[in-house]
Amino acid sequence: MLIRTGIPTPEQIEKVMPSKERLTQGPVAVIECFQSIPCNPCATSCPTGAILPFDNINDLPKFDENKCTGCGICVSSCPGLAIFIVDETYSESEALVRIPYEYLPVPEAGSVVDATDRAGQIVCKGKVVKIFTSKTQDKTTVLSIAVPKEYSMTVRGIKIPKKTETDDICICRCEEISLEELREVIKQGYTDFNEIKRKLRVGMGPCQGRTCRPLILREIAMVTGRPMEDIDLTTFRPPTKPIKISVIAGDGNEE
Amino acid sequence: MKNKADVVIIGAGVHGLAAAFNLAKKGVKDIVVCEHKYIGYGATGRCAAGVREQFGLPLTIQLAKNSMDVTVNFKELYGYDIEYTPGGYLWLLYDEKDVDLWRNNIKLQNSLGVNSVLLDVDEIKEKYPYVNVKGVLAATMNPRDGYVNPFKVLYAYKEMCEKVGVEINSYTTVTGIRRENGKITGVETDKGNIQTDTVISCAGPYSRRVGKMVDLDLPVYPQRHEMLVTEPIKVFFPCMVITGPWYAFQTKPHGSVLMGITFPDEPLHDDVPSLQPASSWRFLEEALKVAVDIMPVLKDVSVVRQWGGYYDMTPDGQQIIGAVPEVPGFYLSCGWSGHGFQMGHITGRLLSELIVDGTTSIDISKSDLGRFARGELIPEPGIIG
Repeated sequence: MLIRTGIPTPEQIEKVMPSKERLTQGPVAVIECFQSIPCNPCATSCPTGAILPFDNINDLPKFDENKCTGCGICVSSCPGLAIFIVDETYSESEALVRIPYEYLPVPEAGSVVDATDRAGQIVCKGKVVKIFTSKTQDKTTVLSIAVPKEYSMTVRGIKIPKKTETDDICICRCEEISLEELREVIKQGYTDFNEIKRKLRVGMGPCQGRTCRPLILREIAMVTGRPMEDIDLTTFRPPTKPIKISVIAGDGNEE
Repeated sequence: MKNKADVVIIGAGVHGLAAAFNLAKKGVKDIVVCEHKYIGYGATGRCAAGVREQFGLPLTIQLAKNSMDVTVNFKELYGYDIEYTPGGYLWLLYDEKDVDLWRNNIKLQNSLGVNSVLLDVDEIKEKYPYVNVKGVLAATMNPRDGYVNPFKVLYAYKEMCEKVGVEINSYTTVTGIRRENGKITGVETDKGNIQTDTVISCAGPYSRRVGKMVDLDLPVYPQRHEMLVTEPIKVFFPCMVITGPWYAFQTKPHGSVLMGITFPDEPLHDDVPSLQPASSWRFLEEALKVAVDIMPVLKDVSVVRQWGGYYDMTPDGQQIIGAVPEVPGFYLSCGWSGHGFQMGHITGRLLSELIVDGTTSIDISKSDLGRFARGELIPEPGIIG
């Protein structure tokens, strides 16, 4: 389930696949956006009108694959990192997948990296063909990765091998909680997400768990053997995103 | 889960866990705590977690002061840091009648060893320059009042309980209490039955529900109260600012600002389907309107979360603690009406004294259930909201 795991279902993906015919004609956007949230930069950034203007900002993108040139502007403009460009005409045996990449370090052009699926599992090797870092991308790097053709609709990320196992991994950015701290409380017997939240403050910060929720669920699932889908979530609480007091209540009486 | 216990405690909030811990310390062997969700799911995990001694009745002040002694010394006593942050409740008074009332309360508090004072407007301005004093006539202040981290308290008690052999069963719902010839013989749960002759109900807003299991009509009604929390900001105000229905304070070391406002028209429920009420827009709007009025400096701070919980309200806003003569073996700590969190330490101790020694070091006879039948209500003039 997307909301728990961050991974869309095969049915969801099926719905947004470009047609077979379009894929034979060169690069095209694959828009893997499944959550109705107030967000429309894909439509406003599309220079060809392939992503149609939104009637309502909460809409999911509507896409005309025949107008898409595969330019890739939408890839870095999507804050959810949900858009990819797939070019199945790249070579006889390989497809080119363009993915947004907001991690450091950025791999070197020409290097071979582990290519991962939507769940972060390594599925094959990929070659970094090109790295896009123009100013208009607002620090969202885009990588072109050449992968075996059969993986063109599977590969959606890459992994650079870790230097050491003890790398300090941050689980909750808002409250600065590391993977080590999380594992420690799980080891102490706290395997209820709500209890872990109260113990460590994970998910209590400005992002309200949007970043850490699936990471924590995955850790709990690994230790308890329970599937992520079965683990109780913490409550989603309003106002969902931080909102300035003056926006709701005005400036008050400053006499 | 044990199928036999000396004492079964219903509810793993601060009252249930403190009672369990104190009983174990007094030598009671088999203690089982049953919690329908997880530790602190109910009122403890949702509360504002303010601790204060500023009350208006001798018994409440005495309970608060004794509980505060544990709060202040928790680390020395038990080795756990519960993030107790003194700074005082600054209680703003806008009405001559309130000033008179609190002048008397302060006299009473001082006579019982609480160092509260009445501040005039100039003193408020000087000490708390970020507070808008428009319309304020005076304020009360007790420097020992403050805030603790309720989760630290809960997990401290959890770990202390486990060390002394208390069994805490999460996700275990008590469904019935068995009696023979009027005496308690056991507790039924969805995970099995436990044989026992002693049950303590620390079920907070579900106390009425538990009371029905032993044919008691407890006048303890869940009433929704809401809170909000902001992003962390630099720690700048040391005290809790209170107008009566509205309050705000800053947590330390975290730095977020917590805020609440009480609406008198929130209904009293007979029972509620869950202890997690919906949040309301009215709360957000009204609480923040007061915030920008009383502390305009907060206007650019962002709210990140709001939530709700239930008070366990009684007709006189006072707790019900102690034994129940009609049901031998049944003990209560409930009806705290919004100031129960801070009283967990002392109530846990008093209940353990009552059960083991048959008598308590503080006279709690006025807090019994019988007062409602006798018509001896004890309205407290120092309740927030």
